[in-house]
Amino acid sequence: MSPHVGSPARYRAEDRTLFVFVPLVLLFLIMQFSLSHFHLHPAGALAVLCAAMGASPMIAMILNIGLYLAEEKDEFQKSLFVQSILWGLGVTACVATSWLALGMFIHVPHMNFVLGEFLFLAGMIISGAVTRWRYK
Amino acid sequence: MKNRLRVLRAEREWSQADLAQRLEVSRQSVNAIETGKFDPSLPLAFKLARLFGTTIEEIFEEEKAAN
Repeated sequence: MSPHVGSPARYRAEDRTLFVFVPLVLLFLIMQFSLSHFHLHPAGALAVLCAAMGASPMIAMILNIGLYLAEEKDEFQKSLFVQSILWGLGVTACVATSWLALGMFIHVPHMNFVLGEFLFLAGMIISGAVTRWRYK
Repeated sequence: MKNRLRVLRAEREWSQADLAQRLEVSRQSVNAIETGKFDPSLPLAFKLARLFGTTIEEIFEEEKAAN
């Protein structure tokens, strides 16, 4: 009997990451580069469109997480994933809270939302790897 | 929670991957349940019991609290 290689839900989530999330991030980076390189300051509807492009990778990631949790039948894998999401959220909340608290006493620059996205993903990926290693 | 999964699996000469495929879960899940690091839900426990032709109580045993 051949071994059970992996969950179909996980493969679908990986496909969505590759074909939806990654292109959205690339589009956002191209937009950011163009705006700063040509010193453009979009206004009105274009500003809304730029903001939507900036938020779209994170929204896509959240939708992907929700779909994966709904589709995943393996409860152990699901629990590992939920643990990594909580770590990602925890890391983001801790850094954001500390940053805001620091802002009460000294002048600090606004926390860029891209940093928030990065912290969430980094926290999720690192804790996911550590959790999987623990249960190896 | 202690369990007899390893013994039951060995009696049938199944690998963790074989059992995982029969349960439609990952091999990692079987390993986590076997080593007591993860307690399965009731539906999965029933599935295990049906697969081994026994009862849940015959597979899983509650660990007594050390007082």
